[in-house]
Amino acid sequence: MMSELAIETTGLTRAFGNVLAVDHVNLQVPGGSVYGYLGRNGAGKTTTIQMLMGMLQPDIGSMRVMGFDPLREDVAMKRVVSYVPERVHMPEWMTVGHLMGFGRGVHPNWDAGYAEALRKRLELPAERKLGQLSRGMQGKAALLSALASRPRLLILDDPTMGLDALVRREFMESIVGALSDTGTTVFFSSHILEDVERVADVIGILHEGKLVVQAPLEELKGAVRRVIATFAEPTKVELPGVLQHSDGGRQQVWVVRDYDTGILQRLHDAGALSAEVEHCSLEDIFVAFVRTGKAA
Amino acid sequence: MKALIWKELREIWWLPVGLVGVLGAVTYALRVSAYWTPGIVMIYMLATVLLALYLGADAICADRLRGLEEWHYMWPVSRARWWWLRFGMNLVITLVVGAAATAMLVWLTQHYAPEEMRKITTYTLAGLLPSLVFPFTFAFFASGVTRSAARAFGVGIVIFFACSCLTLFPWYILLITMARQIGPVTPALTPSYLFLLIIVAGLAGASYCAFTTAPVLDVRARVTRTRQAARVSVVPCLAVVVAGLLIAYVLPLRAILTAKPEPQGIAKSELSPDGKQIAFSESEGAGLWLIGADGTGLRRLGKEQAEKIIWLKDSRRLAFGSVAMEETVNPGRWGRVRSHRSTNYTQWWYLDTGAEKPEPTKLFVLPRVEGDSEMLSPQGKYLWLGGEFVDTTTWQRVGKVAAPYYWPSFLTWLTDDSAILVKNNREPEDQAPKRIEVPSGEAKPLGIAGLPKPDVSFFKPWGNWMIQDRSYTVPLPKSQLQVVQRTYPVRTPDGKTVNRPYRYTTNTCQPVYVTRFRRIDGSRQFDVPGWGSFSANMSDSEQYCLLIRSPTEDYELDHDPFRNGELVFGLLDMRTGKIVRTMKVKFPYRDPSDLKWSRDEKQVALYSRETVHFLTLDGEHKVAELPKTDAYVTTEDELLGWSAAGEVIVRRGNRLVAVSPNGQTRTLLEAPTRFDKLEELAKAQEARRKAGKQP
Repeated sequence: MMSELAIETTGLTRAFGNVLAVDHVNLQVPGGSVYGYLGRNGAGKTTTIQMLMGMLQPDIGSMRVMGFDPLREDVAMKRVVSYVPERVHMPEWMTVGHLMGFGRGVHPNWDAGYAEALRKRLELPAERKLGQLSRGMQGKAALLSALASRPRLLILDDPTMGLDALVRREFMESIVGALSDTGTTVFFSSHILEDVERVADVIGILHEGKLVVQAPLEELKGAVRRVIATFAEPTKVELPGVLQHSDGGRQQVWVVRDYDTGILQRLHDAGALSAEVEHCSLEDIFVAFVRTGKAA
Repeated sequence: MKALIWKELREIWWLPVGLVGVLGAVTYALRVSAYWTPGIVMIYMLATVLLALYLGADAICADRLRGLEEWHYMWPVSRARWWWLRFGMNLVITLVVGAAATAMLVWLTQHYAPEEMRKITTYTLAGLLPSLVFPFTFAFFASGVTRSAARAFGVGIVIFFACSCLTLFPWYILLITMARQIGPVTPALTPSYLFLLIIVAGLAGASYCAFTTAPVLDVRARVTRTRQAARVSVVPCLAVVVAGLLIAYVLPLRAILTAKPEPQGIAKSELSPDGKQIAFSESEGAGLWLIGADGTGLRRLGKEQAEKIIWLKDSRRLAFGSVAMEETVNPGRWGRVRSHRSTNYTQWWYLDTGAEKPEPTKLFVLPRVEGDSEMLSPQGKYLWLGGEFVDTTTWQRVGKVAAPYYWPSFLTWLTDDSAILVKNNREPEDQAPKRIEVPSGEAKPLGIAGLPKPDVSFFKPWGNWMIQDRSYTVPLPKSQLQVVQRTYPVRTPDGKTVNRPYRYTTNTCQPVYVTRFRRIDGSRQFDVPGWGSFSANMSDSEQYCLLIRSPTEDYELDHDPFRNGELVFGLLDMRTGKIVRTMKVKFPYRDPSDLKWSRDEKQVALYSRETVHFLTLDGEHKVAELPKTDAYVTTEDELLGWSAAGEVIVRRGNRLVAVSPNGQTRTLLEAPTRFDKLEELAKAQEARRKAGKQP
């Protein structure tokens, strides 16, 4: 269900000293979508999220999160927006039960029944101290505290980072399971493309602080194709929208965006003996965009 | 809010509880050593100040150190709310612990400490609690702008103690000083208070950086002037300033309004030689007053503030000294400005108390002198005023001592007023006793018949008598000698080792302490053996001398009021040179601060802190408890002497008390806080006298 924008930024920029961490980013996260925010380590994902949560002030640019200004209306915003940081540290002396009690006292939208149901679904022992939980369980506890208030927007900062494959899969499934049919917008950053591809509706790829692509996943997959052509002898061919090109002499491979059949015609005109067009995985798309560094 | 408070309390409950527990244990352990109350006070004060610093420094930094900042930020609670909650919670805990420490300390001192320590600690602690706000606030602000609790702690300590040093005294004294300022001097006019305001203004600037919205992760944002940042930063700053003003003004004012003001002590008082009148003054500058030794006849003698009072022999005239003031006149913007400041000189006056309207007459200004600086000669002809001789009939200066003798000690007049004897003076190379001729001021060798000059080892101002310590050793009789037999190895020429015996005797001699009493004119002398180190006080008729010494020579043991301190008193008959009576008396302190023989010389009165002891020649010992006083009691309290009615007059804090040898006490005068009220008291007395009633 796509509706008005849950997150909208305009020219969002933030520098740390001489390093431009986020460079004129224009995010548009549709309401009700699952938005995968991709980027390599140090691309600026966490900085963007911290600005969206009002923890960092942008140097330039504006932002609205669920209609709120995160810097001036952070409390009102956080009543409908939940956030799970990259590596959550929680008071170690608290038990899971304490955490739920604390949330009930602090959050006006806290749903105690839902929290208990979530606890059972996530298999969190109520009497166990948070400091004694494994890292995956701690992540689940953070997720519980983020979801129990039934947020309209959930922001997750690389929630599966550092988890093994099994735990990661469980974690992602629990998010999907918890949010199925709730209409909650999810904005999550990750550098594990497999996770994103499984759940995301919309993709944004950040590279060196710049948003190089932002589009619905299916649309992106439809637009970006890999083209393989074989020539009788090494030939130089210019194609439009090339993201990546590997020149193997007689056989050449292109990854192009905005693919259309005119490309095949060009190859035929250039003397290609054969030409194949393949769909790309999200990983291929990500690598192609990151290597070129071109903005979509 | 309840959930937030619950969380904060759960995280730090152990600290205040632990500290209170430790202090409780310290209190319990130290209760028997409460004589060292100043040290104990310091322990409690330092503990509470360090706790305040720690709680402030840890308040914000703890989240950073434990990585909890982001977790806090997950919840819909504003940063300002978190911070104010932390500020309030930690401050409350600081004050609760401070109150607990105060209560323990008060309990300790109330039950175990001498009275003057009780006073000191009570007044000190009055300012301890509010003063904890300052170190806590400093550390809290430092915690907001640094990333390390240790650094914040250090910054808090440095600021706090730097402020304390710069203002020359700790904050609590500042607050107490403010609390005491009743009258024309307002706190706003004191330099210390101005300095406080400067500090608060500086803190306001620092807190502007500390309390910005965004946030802890973003140092730069703290100094960005966003509207929201201003709202959450300026408001706390103003609150801190207002709180500081409240602490500085309202708290003392409340204390002033609700608590009984601390009365001032009587600064100086002297009993007339006939024991019928007491002249006194106090530090508030209300002048010189006179009251009868029976508590009647209160009247003001003059408006001058007497620092020193000397009665003459006739018990009618007196000389008194006040601080000489220097007046300067400077051209000001709106006219001449007169200012007065005290000098290191004493303005001397004399006064006839028997006159219809006593009017002090200004005499002369002399340098203020340390040591035995004022004394009336035995015959009453001269006054020794710190180096100058003044004729008491003409009130003219008739002689002056050379400069090196401005700082004498062990000073005594010869009984015929012909000379004074001094032991020490300012010049360290000239410590030999001297005789200073009156009125020429010429210094001569002692010149006492039969007394070799270097032989004087101890010298006391007893008028006609002096004492000399003569310690020597005597051989023990053979029967008491111990013979020890030992062997020692000797190597013989053929290479063998043999043990040869040898004998020696131990302790062949024993020390003997002999004190020689000698009349200065050489007419009499005798030795008193076996008393070692003692203090002595001779009756005016030279009939008896009371010797006082410690039974153990162990200062710590004898000084401890909780270990049955004792003193040994010996009554020396000066006619026979024999100790006629020895008494061992329980005495809480090693030395009585004052001792006076009664007029009939049948008993002595000894003042010791809160009690007056009476010892008769028959060996009877009685103790009179002095009434409690709210005034600041110091060791300056003194026993003025025996009145004509046979009572002992004691100056104690803001009271003059008459104590009879049977132990009964009577308050002659309780000086109110402001001495101008003495006028009302004097008028009331006069009215009652005219109406034929006794006060």
